[in-house]
Amino acid sequence: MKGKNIRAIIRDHIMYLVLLALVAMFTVATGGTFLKPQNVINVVNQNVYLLVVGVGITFIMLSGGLDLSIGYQISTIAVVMGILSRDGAPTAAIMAAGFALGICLGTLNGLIYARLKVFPFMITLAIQYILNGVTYLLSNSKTFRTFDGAFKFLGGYTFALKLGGGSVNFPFGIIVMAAAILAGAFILNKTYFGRHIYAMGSNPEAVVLSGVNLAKMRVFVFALAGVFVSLGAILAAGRIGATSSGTGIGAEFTVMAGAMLGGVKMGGGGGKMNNMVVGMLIIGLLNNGMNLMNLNQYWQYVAMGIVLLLAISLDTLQTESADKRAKQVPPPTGA
Amino acid sequence: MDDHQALSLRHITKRYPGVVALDDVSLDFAKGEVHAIVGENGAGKSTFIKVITGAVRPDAGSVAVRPGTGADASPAAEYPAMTPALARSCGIECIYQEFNLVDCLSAAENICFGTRLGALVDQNAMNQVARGLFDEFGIDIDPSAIVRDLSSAQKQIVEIAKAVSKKPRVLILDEPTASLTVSEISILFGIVERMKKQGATLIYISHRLEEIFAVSDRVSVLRDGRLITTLRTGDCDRQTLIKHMVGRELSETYPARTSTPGALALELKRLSGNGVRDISFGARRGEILGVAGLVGAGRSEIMKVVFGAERRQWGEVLVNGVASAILSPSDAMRLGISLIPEDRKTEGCFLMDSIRSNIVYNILKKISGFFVVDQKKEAAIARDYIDRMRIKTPSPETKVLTLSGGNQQKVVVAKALASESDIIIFDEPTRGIDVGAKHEIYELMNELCSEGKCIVMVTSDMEELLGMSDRIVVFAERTLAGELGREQFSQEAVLELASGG
Repeated sequence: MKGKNIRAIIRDHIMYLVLLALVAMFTVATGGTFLKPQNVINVVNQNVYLLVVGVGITFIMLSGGLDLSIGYQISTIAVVMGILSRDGAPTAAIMAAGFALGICLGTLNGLIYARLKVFPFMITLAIQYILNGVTYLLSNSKTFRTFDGAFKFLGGYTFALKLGGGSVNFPFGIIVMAAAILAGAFILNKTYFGRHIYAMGSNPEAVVLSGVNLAKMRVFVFALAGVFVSLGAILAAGRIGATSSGTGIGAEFTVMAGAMLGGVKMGGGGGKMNNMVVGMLIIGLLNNGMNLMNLNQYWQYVAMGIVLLLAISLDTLQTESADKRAKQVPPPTGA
Repeated sequence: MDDHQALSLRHITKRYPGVVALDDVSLDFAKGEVHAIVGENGAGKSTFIKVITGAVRPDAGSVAVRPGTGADASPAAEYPAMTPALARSCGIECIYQEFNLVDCLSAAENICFGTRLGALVDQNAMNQVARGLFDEFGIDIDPSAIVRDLSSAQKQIVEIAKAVSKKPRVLILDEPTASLTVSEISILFGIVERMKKQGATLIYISHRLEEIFAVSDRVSVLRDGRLITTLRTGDCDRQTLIKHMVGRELSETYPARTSTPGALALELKRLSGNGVRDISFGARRGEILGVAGLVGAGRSEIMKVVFGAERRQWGEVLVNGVASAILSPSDAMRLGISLIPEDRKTEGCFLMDSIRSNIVYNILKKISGFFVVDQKKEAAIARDYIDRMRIKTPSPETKVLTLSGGNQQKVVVAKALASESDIIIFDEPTRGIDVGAKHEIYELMNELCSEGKCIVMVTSDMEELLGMSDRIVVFAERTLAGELGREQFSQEAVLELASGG
């Protein structure tokens, strides 16, 4: 019994072990540079905006959905904020517009999904194309560099933090990110909305038969994800100090890969916010570590793909053993 | 095995946990005969078919067949179990109730699926093969029509044609007329007649007794997994068959109930929808209304309409005497109706979630203050129901997936009860659960009755139906066949109505 428990604990936390192993590996490979506090903080900071977007995508994935348009949603929000800031709108108004747009785009995806009742792959792919066009039409392929004030503060402000013997520059963005992740975890674990998200991913049929308006819930999930996508776009704008049509390209895949890597199940059925965080950290760490090792960019892609395949294999093996237990069926009745 | 026999089952036994699905069944099938198999729900017909097709491996006994296809069959060989590949190679084909067609291909392509007509896909050749078959049997379907566009009756005919095209020596038809209309049934009977003349053996399973008398030469009755008798169809009548089908002794005892029926809580007036038409009945507070019928008679389907999960077409539902527009399950629940669905795994619960979150799922809003779930209240409610339902689990946090069937069902019931509805529809409340758990659920139903709740119980278990119900309504052929008061209760009466008497 005890041995079984230990095995279960290892199984449930396998990605933490992978993360530790990677840290150890890169620390050795870089002769200790990797584990320097400033480098650790930098690794996290480079991924701040993706982690925030990850909160949103985790909601969608846990509810059994998928959103391929998130990268272009980020670009669209970023470009619209760029235009507003170029035209001299006050920072608060720009951010409010960013949030409003993010929620609208999420709601739009959710409404179409709820109405058409098909797996949102095609829907969000279509939206991705539309938004891709829209961002270039809006931006004329220009880059906007007029972000200041609160944007710079969110994305670029650092303060000195005494750590052990020395002092490191701690970016304020990390605090925003932590708050977003905590908020996400709170919604998921403590509110009834979070329960609905898990239930939708686990068994949508039972959700309907439990008297819940599934269509409405689906719209809510996408709209909620929109909040985090906009916050991610704001952080990205602040950190880079400039936005363009290319700001968010590819973000959806990085973030979904991270969430899946950490153990968030595609199509619903389990996972928590911390799974997404661990997965994203593994991806961020791999990138950073390979950069420090001066590994060719293209080899980095190859390595990333292999890591993803390994993670999926692990997940499949676990699901298979769970399936075996679930396949204990009662005897058939009836004709 | 004699020369005139095509297939022979010897001492077949198949056990599932807690149930003997087939108990020492021996049966011979002759060449050129139509052999009907009848029995109630759960008599073992499905398992019987699956043993022949190799989908199920019997625990004991053997199957004797002639390997090889076509007319030139080899000598008989005996196998401890069939496999699907072996069954195919012995010329055994089965038409299941579910469609096994590829939706996006044409009728002809489906019929020729798995048969090679040359190196490349030859549409013309396939259409010709299908056209030939269709003409032979007077089937009016375009061979090049895409299966998706066909009606379910036409799909069934294509399915039958597909099986026939393989020139099987043994053809099993499992409720082949369930989705057919009169004209297609006569096509089917024509096919059966022709194949019989060609020397094939047809095993015909149907709950429509009139069909049995129309097509079969012999009929075997299964009951509780045992072969009761095999008769020449010409020598028996409807009453004899029904008597053989139900001759079960009511051994189980059911907990006594003291409650007296009160006011009408739920009333259906000519309700139609979800493929079921014209259903009228009433259910009172403090009573259990049994809903009987053979599988597929439309019982669960109409309950989904009552619950708002499927669209109502005509008629009305009255709750406590008031006509109610129930457009969604949430409307139904607001009016105090709960449904415990037929299939707990796909409709009833969240297997991947904990017992706790399953139990409180229906009342999340009630136990939440401004979106945040009151976890103390939640734990208390979960604990309360786990105790009350005697759900055996190490902890409320255990995933439902890991529980036994009986305990899973208790979780589903607890989930429905937590919303404290007055009208509770139980759809197959004890399917696939052990005797102990069954009795606990019966006692709970009695308790609910004495609290003045109205219980509607859809069940395929004859003993449970007769033992627990105050009144019974019987469904047949997707409509209401009749209603029985307690003094009219008998297995014969139920089956007579259910088999479209």
